[in-house]
Amino acid sequence: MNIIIVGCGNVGYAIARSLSAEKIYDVTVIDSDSDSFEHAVETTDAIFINGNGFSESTLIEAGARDAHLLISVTGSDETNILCCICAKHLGTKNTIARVSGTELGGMWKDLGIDAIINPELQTALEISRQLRYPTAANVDTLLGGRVELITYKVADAPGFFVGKSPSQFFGEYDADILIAAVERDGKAIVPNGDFIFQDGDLLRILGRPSSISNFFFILGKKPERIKDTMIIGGGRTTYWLADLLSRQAPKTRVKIIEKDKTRCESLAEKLSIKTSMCLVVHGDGANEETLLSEDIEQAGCVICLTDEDEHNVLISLYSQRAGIKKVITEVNYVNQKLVRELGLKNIVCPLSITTEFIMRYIKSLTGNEGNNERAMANEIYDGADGSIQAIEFKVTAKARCLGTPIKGLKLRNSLLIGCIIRDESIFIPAGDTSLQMGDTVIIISKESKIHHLDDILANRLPSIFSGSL
Amino acid sequence: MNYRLVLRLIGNILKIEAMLMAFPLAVSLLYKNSYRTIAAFAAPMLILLAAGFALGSAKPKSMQFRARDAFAAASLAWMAMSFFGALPFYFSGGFASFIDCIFESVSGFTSTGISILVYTENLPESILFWRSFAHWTGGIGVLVFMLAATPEANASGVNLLKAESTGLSPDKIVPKVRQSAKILCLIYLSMSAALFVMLIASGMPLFDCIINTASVAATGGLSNKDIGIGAYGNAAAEMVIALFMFLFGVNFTIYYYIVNKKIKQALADEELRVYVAIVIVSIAVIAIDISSIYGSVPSGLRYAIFQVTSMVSSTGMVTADFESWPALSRALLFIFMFTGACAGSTSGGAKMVRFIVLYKAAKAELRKIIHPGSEQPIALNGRKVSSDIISKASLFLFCYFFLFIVSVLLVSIEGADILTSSSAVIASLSNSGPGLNAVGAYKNYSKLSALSKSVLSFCMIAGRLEIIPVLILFKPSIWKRGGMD
Repeated sequence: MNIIIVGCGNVGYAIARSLSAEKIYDVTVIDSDSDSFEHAVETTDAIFINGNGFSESTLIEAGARDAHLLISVTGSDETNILCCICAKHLGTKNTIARVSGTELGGMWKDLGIDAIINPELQTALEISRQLRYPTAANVDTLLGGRVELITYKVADAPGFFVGKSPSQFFGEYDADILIAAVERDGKAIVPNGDFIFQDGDLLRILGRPSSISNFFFILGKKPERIKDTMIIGGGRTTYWLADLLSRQAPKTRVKIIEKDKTRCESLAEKLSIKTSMCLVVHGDGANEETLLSEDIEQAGCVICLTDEDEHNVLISLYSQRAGIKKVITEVNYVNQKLVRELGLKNIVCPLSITTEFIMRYIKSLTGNEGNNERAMANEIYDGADGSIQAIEFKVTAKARCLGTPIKGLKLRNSLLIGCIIRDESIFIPAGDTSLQMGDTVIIISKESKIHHLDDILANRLPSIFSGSL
Repeated sequence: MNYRLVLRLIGNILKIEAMLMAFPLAVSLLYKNSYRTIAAFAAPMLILLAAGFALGSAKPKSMQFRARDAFAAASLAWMAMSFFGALPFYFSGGFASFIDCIFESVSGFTSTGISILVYTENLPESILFWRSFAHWTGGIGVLVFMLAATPEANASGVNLLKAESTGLSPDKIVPKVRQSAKILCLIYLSMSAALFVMLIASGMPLFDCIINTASVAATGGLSNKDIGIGAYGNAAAEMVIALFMFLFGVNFTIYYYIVNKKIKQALADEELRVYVAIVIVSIAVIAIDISSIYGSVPSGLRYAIFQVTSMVSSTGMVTADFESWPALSRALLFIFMFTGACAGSTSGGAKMVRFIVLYKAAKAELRKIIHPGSEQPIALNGRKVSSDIISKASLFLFCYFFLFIVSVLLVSIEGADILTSSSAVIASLSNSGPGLNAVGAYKNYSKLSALSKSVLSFCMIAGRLEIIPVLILFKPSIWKRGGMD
């Protein structure tokens, strides 16, 4: 599969590096600044072309005539859009553009661009997700955010679980969620019908965002709304986040501190149309005095989104010491492990969010049409005795497991059918649900050798030859 | 320098060399050579395997070949390979001294093709085969071969490819470094196979076909006859060899373009055009120049075609004693030793593309004197050539001539005339083969002193790797351990 990447900045480099490490991808990188290649050549098995991403000759040289995908991730929206249009015109099958501005709206579809990635919006979504469940640590997402996976301690609400099996729990309570995995004594278990919960179990729960909120409601753990949120830094991510918060939690007050006067003005203007709960303050968030005079100690949550990682880390550390319960730190280029070691727990990394989004898109292209091979696999738990994976399938061809109600299928051990997307709706399957053509299915399995949809059946051994990767 | 990584690479190269030595061993068994000859291959094979596994077991902390590691590894690997490759010569007993064996082995692997042997034809077949087979493995480069063969090659392997390939800024043909190496090997193999079939068709004996295929494909030049290809008196074979010497002097990337039906792009290559033009013009000039010796222009043409393609591709095979040719013809052949053929081919010399780029740079500089302040960009094949590349090309030429000067001085110590010493040095540096005067077409290098032979051996390796990887060994800091390992 030939992939062209335009722009060898942080994102372009990260994608090029992880793609080129896989055998099936042939990667060509275009950048107008040949200096940006220098550090990349030794680590990235790709061809680097110095040129303009929307020049005809450069695109042809990079093989845009028969490339499968062009990803344009330069710093400029206009360049990215133009690169995609030009490549598509030359014959590239799919194109992805990184577009941060809001001006384009939905027009990108008409321009022939197959997908756009807005790193700032994705980051804001990720942050809003982390804000939603104050008691749940570790929120992961599947299917591009349409399904969430949270970790929950049985010890937090033992009365609901201990001594019961999952079917008993769901018999008592109407929760549209799936208990995908249980961690007990450092081991991972995929619970079946006769599994009994114990105190000390750690549950991995999968469901739509609304069902998960509902689940917390049932447990009587209605997430306490964070009253005041303070955001340091007023860039694009802040705009999207404030916008999201104003819709998800209209009563939450948001205070934004930004040191650039013009940024303050334009942000205040844009947000005033959407909400009245936002206050934009001109001041330096890295200055302790400013933070104190804006009552940082009263905030329920502090989110650091300045352009400098160093500032974000320092302000977060300061906020934590000031007693703030939830501190979220944006980190782009500083080593994440180091930041965690400093004691900061909630880290968002726009770079990895963007990279993951694009890698996901590419994997969905390679999910071979018409043979039911797996599209993606996410490790959802890594235990001492092996890991549990969420494996995604697109049902595009006939399979033995189609058409029969799930309770009639003889599935393998330690395997669950997690959730199904059918006609844009997402649901957790019941016993009488049957898989159909066109579904997207998430399989939870401890066995990683599931490459083909029929591998979920107990009487079919993992086929050696179907493992394409 | 990441010692463990470099040692591991050398170990792997030695293992490959052990495998390669199985071929001459088979030849020696097939032709029922003396037990001593058979042992002369069997023993080094065992030594190579032992050394290969000992070094190959090094466990580097980092598998990343930095440019400095790759350069040092390439030159050290070539030296190790040449040293162990000399053992069969030494054990067989047919050589006067160990330095002679080293010289012969280096000349083989670097595809230079100069010999210190006086009576080639008396040697066992297996020894003759090993000399030419060394050419063939050195021609495309053993690192390229290794990159294609080992699955563990990572992205930094491109530095190894760069250290061994020739030209302005050698790079991958396709995105994957292993795939690029495979393509190069495949082109090399299929062209060698084509040459072999055509030589058989020309009526050359089978064993000689094998020897000459290996020598010509690598543009090496060692032969199993004392007087070379001329000994067969076979005009068809001569023309086949001339054609392939010419073809192996072309950048292999061009063949990749042609296979991929990018004929237009292939034919538009500036270096290729200059190369073809120079070859045609030189053949015409020399054919006319020597017509008085051979009676007519057509009969001169046969020798001219062979000698021009042989010298320009730095093969160094001879069908005629060009020592007796007029000065103009001799001068042309001598100059080819400096230029060589195209970058990215198996030929030696400084490569035409460097002269093309520097010629353009000089022209731009002159224009700049006339119109100060004017922008004078330099382009090759429609792409701008960065000033970095130009300064690298001129630095290469400086190093080339600097090494030439130092070596000529060292070789002159033994007292040979200046033409002999300087042509011997340039023939070694450019991996051509025969020089002029005392080291001319039908003479050989056996009478030189041990010092001169060592200097020339060094020149051959330096020339094959395009100087810089070898010179880097003289920087003391390369021998210091890096922070990591």
